[in-house]
Amino acid sequence: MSISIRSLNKVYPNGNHALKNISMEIPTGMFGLLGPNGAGKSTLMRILVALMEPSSGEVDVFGYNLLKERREVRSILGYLPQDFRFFAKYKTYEFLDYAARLSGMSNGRKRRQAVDGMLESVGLFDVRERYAGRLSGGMKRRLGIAQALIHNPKLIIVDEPTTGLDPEERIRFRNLLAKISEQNVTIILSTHIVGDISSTCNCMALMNRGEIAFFGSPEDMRRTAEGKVWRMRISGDDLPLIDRKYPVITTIPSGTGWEIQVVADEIEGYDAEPCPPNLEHAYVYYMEKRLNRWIED
Amino acid sequence: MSKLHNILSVARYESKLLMRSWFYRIFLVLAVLFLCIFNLVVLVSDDSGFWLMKALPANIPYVNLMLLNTGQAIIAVFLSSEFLKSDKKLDTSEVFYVHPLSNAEYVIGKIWGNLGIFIRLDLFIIVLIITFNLISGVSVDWMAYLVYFLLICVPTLIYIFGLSVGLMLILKSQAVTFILLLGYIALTLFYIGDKFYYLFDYMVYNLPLVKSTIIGFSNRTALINHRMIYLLLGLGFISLSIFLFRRLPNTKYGSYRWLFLSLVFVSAGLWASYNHVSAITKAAKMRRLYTEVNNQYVNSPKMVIDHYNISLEQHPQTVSSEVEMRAVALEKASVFTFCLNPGLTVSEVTENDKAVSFTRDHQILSVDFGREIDSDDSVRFKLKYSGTIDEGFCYLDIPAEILQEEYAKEMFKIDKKYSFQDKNYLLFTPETYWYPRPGTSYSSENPDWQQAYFSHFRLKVKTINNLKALSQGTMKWPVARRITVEPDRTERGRAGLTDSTRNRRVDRFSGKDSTGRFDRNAERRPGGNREGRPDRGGNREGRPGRGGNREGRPARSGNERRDRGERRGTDSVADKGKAPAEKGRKVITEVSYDSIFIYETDFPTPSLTLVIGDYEQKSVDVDETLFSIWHLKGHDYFSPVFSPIADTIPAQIRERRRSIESAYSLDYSFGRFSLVEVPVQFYSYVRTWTQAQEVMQPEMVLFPEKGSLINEADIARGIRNEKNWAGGEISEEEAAIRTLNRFMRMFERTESNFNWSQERGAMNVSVKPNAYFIFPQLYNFRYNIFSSEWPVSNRLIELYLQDKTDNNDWIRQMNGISNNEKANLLMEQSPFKELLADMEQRDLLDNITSLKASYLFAYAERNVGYKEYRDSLRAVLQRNIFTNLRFENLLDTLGMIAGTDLRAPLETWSHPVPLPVYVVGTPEVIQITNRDKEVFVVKLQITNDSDHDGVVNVEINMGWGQGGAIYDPRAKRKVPFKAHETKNLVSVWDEAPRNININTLISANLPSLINLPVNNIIRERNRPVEEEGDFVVENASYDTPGEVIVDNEDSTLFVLSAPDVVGLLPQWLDQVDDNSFRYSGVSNWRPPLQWTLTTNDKYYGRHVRSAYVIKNGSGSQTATWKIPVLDAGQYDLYYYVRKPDELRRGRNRDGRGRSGGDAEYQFKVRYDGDEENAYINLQRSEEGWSILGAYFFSNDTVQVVLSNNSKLRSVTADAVKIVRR
Repeated sequence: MSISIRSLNKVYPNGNHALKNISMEIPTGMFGLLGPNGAGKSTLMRILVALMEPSSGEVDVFGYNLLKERREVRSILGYLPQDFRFFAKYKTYEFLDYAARLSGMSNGRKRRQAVDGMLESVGLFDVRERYAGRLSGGMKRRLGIAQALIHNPKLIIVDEPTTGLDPEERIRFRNLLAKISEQNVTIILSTHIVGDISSTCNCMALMNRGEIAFFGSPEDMRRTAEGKVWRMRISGDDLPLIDRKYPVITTIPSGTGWEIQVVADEIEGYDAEPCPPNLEHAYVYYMEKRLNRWIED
Repeated sequence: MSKLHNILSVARYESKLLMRSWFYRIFLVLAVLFLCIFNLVVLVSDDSGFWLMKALPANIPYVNLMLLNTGQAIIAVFLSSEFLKSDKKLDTSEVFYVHPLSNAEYVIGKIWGNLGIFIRLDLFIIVLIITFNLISGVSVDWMAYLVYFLLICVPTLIYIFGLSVGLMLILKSQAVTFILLLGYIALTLFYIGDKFYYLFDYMVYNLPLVKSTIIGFSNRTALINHRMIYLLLGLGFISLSIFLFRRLPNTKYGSYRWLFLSLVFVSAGLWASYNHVSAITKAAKMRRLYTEVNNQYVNSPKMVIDHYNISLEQHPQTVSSEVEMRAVALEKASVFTFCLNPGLTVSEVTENDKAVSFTRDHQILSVDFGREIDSDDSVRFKLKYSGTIDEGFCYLDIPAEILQEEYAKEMFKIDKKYSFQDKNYLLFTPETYWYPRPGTSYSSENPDWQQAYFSHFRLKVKTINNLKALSQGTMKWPVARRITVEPDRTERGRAGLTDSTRNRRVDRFSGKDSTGRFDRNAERRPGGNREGRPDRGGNREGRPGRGGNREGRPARSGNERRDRGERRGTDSVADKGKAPAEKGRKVITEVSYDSIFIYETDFPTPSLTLVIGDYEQKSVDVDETLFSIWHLKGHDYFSPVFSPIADTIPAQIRERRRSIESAYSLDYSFGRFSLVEVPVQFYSYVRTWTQAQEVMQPEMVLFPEKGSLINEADIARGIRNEKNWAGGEISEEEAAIRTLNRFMRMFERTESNFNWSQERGAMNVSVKPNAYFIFPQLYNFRYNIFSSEWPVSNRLIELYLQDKTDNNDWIRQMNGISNNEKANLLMEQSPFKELLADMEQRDLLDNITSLKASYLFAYAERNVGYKEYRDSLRAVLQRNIFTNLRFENLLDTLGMIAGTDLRAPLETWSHPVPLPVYVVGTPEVIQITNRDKEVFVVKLQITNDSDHDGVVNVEINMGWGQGGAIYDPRAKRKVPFKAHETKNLVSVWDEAPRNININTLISANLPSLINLPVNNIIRERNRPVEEEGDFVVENASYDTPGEVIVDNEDSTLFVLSAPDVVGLLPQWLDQVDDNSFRYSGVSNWRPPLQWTLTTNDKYYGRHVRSAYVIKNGSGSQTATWKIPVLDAGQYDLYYYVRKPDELRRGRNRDGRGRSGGDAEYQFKVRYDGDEENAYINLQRSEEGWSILGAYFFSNDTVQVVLSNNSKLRSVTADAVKIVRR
């Protein structure tokens, strides 16, 4: 296991209990951390990258105790934060060079090679002289991941990396991550976009309200929703009623009515046919049904 | 290495960010632009600039870096806190935070990055300044650039960066941090300034940083300590910032190391602050102790030393000295008190080679001769001592607040030093008590210490490093040989000497010919005697031994060789006595300088000075006096400039000497006069009891290096200016002569250093006495008046002999009141004795004393005559030359001469003086022609309008000029007035006087000095001429029947409009200091916004000639005179006009004001329920009463309203009158 988290708690000074006794073992490879906004993903990420101290608990990263051996942990870490902007006054290559220097690459020639290589691999070599402030959103993300990768870290933590990207950039970015994950590194991808995880991760955790709601593979997660996804054709007048009764996943206009997909254990009073679930369905099922039920319990 | 790598990486990219910010770029451009313009103007431009900067090249980096430092300290506040703000705002920083570098590496890298930018800027600016320095032709002090950079820029930047970052981390708000820091900067810059011994002066605006070219920095320890305060505090704040930095440290408790380090740095900084302050307070404590010790011994038995034989040996850091003295007991005792600098340790006192017991109590040396020595009996004894001068012992009489006052010229702040002692330079003035002197130094309990004791001195000095020693008297060793040589041999000889010797001196004022010496005989007037200068050939008291030798012209005999210690085989040449006209043989004086110097005073002198340095001499012999400039090697910037006028220099010197001697009717009696260049830090204080400051020593003036503090010493510019002023119509030589004269006149000026302060409408000028005023050479080093009861007596006589009049008209006009008038008002409130001790009135003390002197001798002067009385005084002084003359005895003698009791008025000095007031009438001049004889009868009526007797000085100016050859006792005399007495002063003259000056001396009149112009001379023929004299007039009146005058001083009949409401900011900007005097000065250029009361002798007034002045305006401000009309009838209405300055000179003399309109005052005359406009054109009207119009007034009150609506800059409300037809 690359990361071992034991009984991790974080309580903010305002009393918000952001992480509640979290324990898990994160294996090598691409790990997805899924959860709605406010679930505690970013808090967990910031603790893992040593930007924040947990209130209690232990974290081992590749054998280093995160609380006592921060320098060692930081030296094997690459991080792309969620709300990532640039010092607009740095040029693209300068930004990477800066990151490379801070990671301990003191040999100028090697550093230049690494920077150029990384710019090539993220497709930014042609804009290396451009000020970072003038890059497009996708380019900025790629530059972000480039700076996280420049020193070949063993652990890469990426927080909400595809938010705000167009589909093409998103796919490109996912592929980039997938390609990196093949190089025997651990990538923790925190996101609330299910598609990011389903297409790349081999292990995942679902977080909700500071707790781990699910831990396993995306396929296991998907399976939990089998037989719970239904397709129905309804009239326009029924839609508000159904929307109140069941979580509606898709709504497609069809002739005079609608073709919709809902998540439910069973459907009463309507003609519905089951359909195969995907990870998104499973996520909705979890969020709307199981978690709510757990809470109610 | 990785730590350094990390720091440098962060720094590198922090610098990039900063370099690319517009804020920094704009600052960079502005800084470069400003400094370029500044250096162009002050350094490169021919017409302006600071001489101090050119004379002492170290000041170039000093002032430039100080200016730059101020700018960058403010900008650094913004920039240093900016990086934390941007870190906070952008998550971007987090991608760097997750790297393994430590917090310290990150913060230090950030600060180093910012700092690096500024340091690079500084270096760039330094290169720029060096370029200007080279272009200007001023030599470059390379080391100064480095030193000032380290002293000024580095500590300030580290401190301000540390402070801003630390504060930002504590306050967590950039805005609040800015406000606090900018407030702090403003507070330290504008309010705290140099207070608390400039402890808070982190930007070095007040720190004395001027570096001498002779001794470098005189306050190295203090400077380093002061700068360490801010460097250490800065490092402390940076360490604190690392501790407070909001990023998890790499190790759990790692940041606490930085907290500890921060505490260490801050504590060290505070310790340095403590050191800084305690060094000063400790010195103050020692001064108090020294004074107490003096108080303890001031009444103990004393000996007068009539002969000193001092043998002093210079060592790198100390001196050792052996002094043989012949002393005369002033009273019978066995133990006698002497004073010697407490830094000097006495090792032995012997009498006839037998040890004599002695005790030392700080500065006091008590010698116990083991037997009673009768009064007037003399003993010979010897003293051995060595050590280093304790400078803190000097000037015990100067109050702490004056000691702490800054010593500055323009923006250059200079350290105050009273003596110097290191291996390359030494300066001991008498104030250091470097040799034992009788009695004590300053005592706060008994003025006995002020007595001057005149002694003969023989001084033998052994110097190190081949330095020259200078002192008073004839140089007996090294000897000089006068030889006559052919011109070509001279040249050859010189060339050979230059090659072969190290300390050869060619001491000459380079002239047109090869030797450049001036034969005094060639320049001397026929007959040798001059007007106003007594015969020098005679054997006068006080000037013995003319046949003796002088420095630079030493004895030809070699009999002093026995005194020599080691001697170096080096020779030098001093050219002497070459007549320019004489093209044949030349007379050369060869002097062999070595490490031994022997001086012997020509006649008794009160004190001895010792200067040791690498000096060279330029001299010229004029009328048996050797005028020399002793400058340090490499400081001769004047010879090339004055070479073309070398032939005329003796004549110029002679003329100035004649002028000074005749002005005071006192004689310069020394055989030498030397300007000795001393380090710029040498400072002397004004003494309340004497004119002589320490810069003025017998036959010697200690002059700041290259005359750097004196603008007249910038001779190259002086010559350019002279040519410009003359419109280019004079030759280079003539310009050089004028420049030399201007320089020499500096020694004639009584005052120097005008200090200006200005608020809107009000201006204040104050002057300091000129330390280089030559008067002490004529008086103080020969005479001394002493009184235990009145220690001020010597000063009183000095001021009386100088006959200072407080007639700096322009200063009075600016201040609204003269210092004499202020002195009068003070004397009315407090007794003279109290005022003498009042530190707050220190600046007015000379005025008070001068008035007292004038008044004290007024009756005597009247009885004997102005000039005659002064001549008597000088004669009495001359009879008591080289002794202490008791003031009381002097008064008795003078009283006998003048037939009056001069002691009696002293009793009044212990009480406040009730001031008389006078009414001064208008002078009446009648030109009477009887047959072919024409005379002018001058009549002036003056009334003492008070219950107190008084004296008035009347001066009738016949236009003979200052120091004119014609002396008439009637022209300048004192006229006493009894209470309520009126006198008509009648005098008859062959020509019309130009004007009459009335000085009411001690009186409540304002102004006390009234200049009455003589206008309207009445012509009459064939009638008897009036008898001359001062005639008492009974029942005199100045009122004219049918005439009513209302003056602005009339509180019931004169009213001003309420002031306009102005905003808070203008009020604050234009605020006028509340001064204790009712009358203020008024600036012609920036008149006051509110009616401001000022005085001038051209205003109307019975006792006080005052008026209200206001800036011109819309007419919203008015002044109203309410004139009671007793009888209805036809009246003429007059207004009292004083022409404003703008109409007196310049472009506006054509009758138009500044805006081109008529120079008019607008009035409204309200009477009988009616209102009429009236105008006065100030250009066309005469000064004095000017008619506004003719009116028929009924039996009522007439109101005359003056509006501030005028084209003139200001409007003056003075007096109106109505005269019945």
